[in-house]
Amino acid sequence: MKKFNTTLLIDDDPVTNMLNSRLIQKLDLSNHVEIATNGQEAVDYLRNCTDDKRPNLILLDINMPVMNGFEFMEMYEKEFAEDNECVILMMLTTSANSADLEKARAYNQVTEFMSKPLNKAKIELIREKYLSE
Amino acid sequence: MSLWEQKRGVLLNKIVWYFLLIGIPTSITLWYMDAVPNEFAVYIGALALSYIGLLILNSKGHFTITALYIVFAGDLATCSTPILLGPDTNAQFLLLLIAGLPFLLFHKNWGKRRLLMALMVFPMWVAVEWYCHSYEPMVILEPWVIEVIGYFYGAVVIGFSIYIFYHFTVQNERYAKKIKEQRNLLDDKNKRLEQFSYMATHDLKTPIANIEGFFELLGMDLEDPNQEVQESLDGIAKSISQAKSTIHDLIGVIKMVSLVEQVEEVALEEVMKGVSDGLSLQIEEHQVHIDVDFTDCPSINFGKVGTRSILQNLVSNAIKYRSPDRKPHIQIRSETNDQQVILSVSDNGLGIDMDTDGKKLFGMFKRIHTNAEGSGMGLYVIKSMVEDRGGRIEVNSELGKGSKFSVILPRIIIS
Repeated sequence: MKKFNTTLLIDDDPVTNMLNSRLIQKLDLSNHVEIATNGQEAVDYLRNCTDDKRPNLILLDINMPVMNGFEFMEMYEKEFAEDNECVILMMLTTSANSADLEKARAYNQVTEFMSKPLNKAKIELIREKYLSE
Repeated sequence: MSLWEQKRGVLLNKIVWYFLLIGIPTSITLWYMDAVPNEFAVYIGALALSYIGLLILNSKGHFTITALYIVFAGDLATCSTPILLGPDTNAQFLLLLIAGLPFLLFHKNWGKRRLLMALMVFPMWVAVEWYCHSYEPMVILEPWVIEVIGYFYGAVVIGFSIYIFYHFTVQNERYAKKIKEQRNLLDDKNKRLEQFSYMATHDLKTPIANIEGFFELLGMDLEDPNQEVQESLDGIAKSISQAKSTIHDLIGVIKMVSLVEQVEEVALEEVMKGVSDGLSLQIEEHQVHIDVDFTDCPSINFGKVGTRSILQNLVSNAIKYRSPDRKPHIQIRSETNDQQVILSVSDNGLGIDMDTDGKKLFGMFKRIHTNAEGSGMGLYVIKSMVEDRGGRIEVNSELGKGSKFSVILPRIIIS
């Protein structure tokens, strides 16, 4: 079964991160899971990681301190977009706020916009859409 | 008193004062000038005094009488002046002041009557011109007096013309600017409200989302749960679902209850169409017959979103609480008198026992009949909105027969 090599979870809530990494682990979606608790940590990780740990799947929360999801997208678009064209980037949110959806659409790198929580059905959807060749 | 009526009252007052200010000094001047028969001065004086009577009528709110008097008596008086003094005094041009007044003084629902009143001036003009060129003026004045009066009336006509243009351009610009400012303020307020409800519920939604997630993980880890464990799992699943739905409804309520809208003239027919489109599935499914009549009062002074919310809630309730014994029939009416506007939604559904359940009806999360879905928030929300604007909701209902919900709003809603 194909899977992602590295998944980067960007969320300030440790419980959410634990839940998501357990789910990903259990459903064998990715070899490695890395965690960043805000946008800034995620940028630092992307700048300093080795090639084999470069994420192919990023799950991004919106509400975070220091640097939130949209601010991270600004940086990502500028610094990392070119080298990471085949990275699947998903924005996860607690609300179906239409304003956020519109904002997310403005970024080409955002592949999907989903509501929390991440669950089995959504993971299977991701697998079907992006991992079956 | 609507905004238009207020403005008209002010305008009528200004006009009456204007004519008083012309009439009284003119008659005093003529009286002292001795060049003119006293009867003429008396005539002008009487006209001026009648305008004082008009001021009094106007201040008492008898706008239509005042307006009609100004138009008709004004036309006649203006026509009589050139007949009395001769066309060289430019008195016939005073008709310029009067001709367009019907459009200012009468509401647009007077329709073509306003145009007819204005057009009346044309035959009057023709008659006056013919008379003046066929006969001598009734009052022979010395040439210098005629000249002075000619300049005076010329100045009056020019001055009035400038004033009318001013009134319609500068005043309208100021008014439009004020409306825009108000709208911006409201937009800001609503944006802040949206942010607030988002932030307030985010910290509630996150742990619930996590519970849901871990619950699913737990389900995957539990091999072959026995019946008791399964019941616990089902209980948790149901509770999670309830919590999510309550939060969802709470967000809706926060928004609706705190929504501050621009008060405008909202066309009921249009709003109702949107509401029935939105409910079209249920309407067709349950064969609901909706009878709408807004002819007595086609629009109300309220907010657009609020009006929609009221109609939506009442109609969807009427459908929800229909009787299984008969075809659902909903009657929607709007009525008005001088003080109030009444919007009513009547149905032939299950009805409500007002003695036992009357008080609970508008409470939060309260539902009287248990066979329907929904959060029980709808009536609470619309009651808040209506009462905030100085109105109230009345319920007439008979168990087993049906219910009638009446939303009563005062006509005076000044934003």
